[in-house]
Amino acid sequence: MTGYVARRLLAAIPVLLLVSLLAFLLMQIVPGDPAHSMAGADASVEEIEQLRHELGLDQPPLVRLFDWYVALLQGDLGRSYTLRADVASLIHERIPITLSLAVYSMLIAVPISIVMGAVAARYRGSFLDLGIMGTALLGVSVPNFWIGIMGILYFSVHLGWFPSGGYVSPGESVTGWIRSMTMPALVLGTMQMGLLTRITRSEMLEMMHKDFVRTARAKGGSELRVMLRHAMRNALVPIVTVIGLLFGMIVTGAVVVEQVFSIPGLGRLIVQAILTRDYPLIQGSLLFVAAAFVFINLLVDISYAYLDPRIRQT
Amino acid sequence: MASPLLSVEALRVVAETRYRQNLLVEDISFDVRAGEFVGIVGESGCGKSLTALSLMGLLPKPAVRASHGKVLFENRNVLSMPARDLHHLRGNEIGMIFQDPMSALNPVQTVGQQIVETILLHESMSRDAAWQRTIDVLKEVNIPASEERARAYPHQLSGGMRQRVMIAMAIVCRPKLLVADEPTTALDVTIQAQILELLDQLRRERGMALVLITHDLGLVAEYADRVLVMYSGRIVEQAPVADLFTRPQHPYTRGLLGSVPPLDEDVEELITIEGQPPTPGAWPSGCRFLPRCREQQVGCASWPVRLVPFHEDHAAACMLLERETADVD
Repeated sequence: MTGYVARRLLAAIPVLLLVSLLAFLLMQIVPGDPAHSMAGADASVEEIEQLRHELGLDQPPLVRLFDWYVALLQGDLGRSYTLRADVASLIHERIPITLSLAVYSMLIAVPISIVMGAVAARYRGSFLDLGIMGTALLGVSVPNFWIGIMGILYFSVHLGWFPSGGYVSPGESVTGWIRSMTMPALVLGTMQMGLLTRITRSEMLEMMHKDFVRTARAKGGSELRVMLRHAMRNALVPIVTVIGLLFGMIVTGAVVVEQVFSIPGLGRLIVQAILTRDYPLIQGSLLFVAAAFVFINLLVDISYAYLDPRIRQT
Repeated sequence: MASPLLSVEALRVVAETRYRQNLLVEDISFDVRAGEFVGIVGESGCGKSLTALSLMGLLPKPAVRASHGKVLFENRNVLSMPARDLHHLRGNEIGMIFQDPMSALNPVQTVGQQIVETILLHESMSRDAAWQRTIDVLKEVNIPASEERARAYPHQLSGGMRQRVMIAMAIVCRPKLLVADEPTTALDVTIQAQILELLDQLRRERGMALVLITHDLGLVAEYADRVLVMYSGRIVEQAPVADLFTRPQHPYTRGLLGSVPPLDEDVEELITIEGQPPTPGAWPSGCRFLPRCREQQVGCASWPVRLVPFHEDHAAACMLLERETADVD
């Protein structure tokens, strides 16, 4: 297992290099100049040129890319142009917020969707199934930001249950944190819930037609026991794969949700960095997100071995 | 005579979709006495497996269901039993083993865990005691190194071992009836004989009745007391095994027996029954074997199909037999 993990980590290196290269190239294509936005509207041409020189932007792109890689290999992600701080420490500051939002969101979404998917599978073709699947389809189709805005209108403005935005750190007040994070977590999880419900349902339906499920019935197990211990236990392998992928997608979703609810997480940092053409910050955060993706997928692959003994052997 | 252990009366199994109802099994009636070995023989698709699943109320509902008839196990109707009684019956009073032991075992549990589950579903005892009993029953089905094997996952065992595990799981609660649905079809020929021998030995030792579903007449000839021959969802002949082989009454049975190649002489060509069995839903009215029958006569198509008694326990669903017996009278 250790060898396997080491090999997987090594294999991640080219992936990360490619991601950083793409991030760099994209920024070269997108019009805009960080020196312009930093120097302000009234800056003279000389001032801007001076700034470009200081930031190293007058160098050819290949030289800048090379310099960035050299620094990266030394563990230096560079300095943000606009926020006047190390990219690494900026990311480090924001991670706990986005990560806690993502985990909270998955803690809500995963149990609900697994139960809903299993119920829909059990009562396939009934109105209950139809209702659950319809809701799940809505969850997948309706964009996050719209649900977020509607949520703010109803639960914050109309009912006053939750604040309409902002972030309270759990160090300050735990209840404050829960109040500030519940709605963003729910909104962030809607698409995940929709997808996961649909996948759980189809996996369960498939499992329930398997011979070993018939055997479990022939042994005298109740329908609930057959569903949970035999069908669900076997459906978990594909379900966990999807959970891993969804967890990765949540970072993408966080970009929007953090914007809507003014939560100072990694997603907002990326948006800010892109708007101000803060190259080091963009490259650093994208690299981090990619690394997180790779890491989560590795965790998923490792979890297979625990869920399925047939994989454990190979 | 005491009432039989199992009594199937006029069983009909149908597949239902929103638009139509397909008849799959019709008018099946037979008895199984305690300790008896009954073989059910037929081609694929003749309804023998569905008949077997009906015995435990295991038809894949809601698509397929028994729409008519009774399955009486010790005078209780399995088809109308409340769920609780059904759970008590399955695995406890009736055991069942299936065709493919690879797919019939849960791939993510050790075989020991799966047998322990069966025990604990029906008997209250400690997990340790159930584990001990699991190892004992694995020994009983001739699994060597049974303690080690109990900790193995199904994919770590050979096909024959897996089927032995299935048998162990089915008999661990000492059922009065074991239903074996083509238990050797997925196995090597050499293993087949061992498994059949084991089933028969367990039946004799435990006084358990055994219903063997198979398409292999040879197996039935060797082990069974009584045979039911099924064709297109109906029983076409039932008889004590010796009777069936010495004087088969239904043209289909005769065809089956005739197509077993003799081992002691060279044959130029294998003898077969010409044509294909009709698919469910495309059954001819009247005798379903008629399109393939070489002995058909005028009147066959309109003859109301029913089992005609021939001799003691022997009956066949053929008009010719009815005419013969009428002549004798």
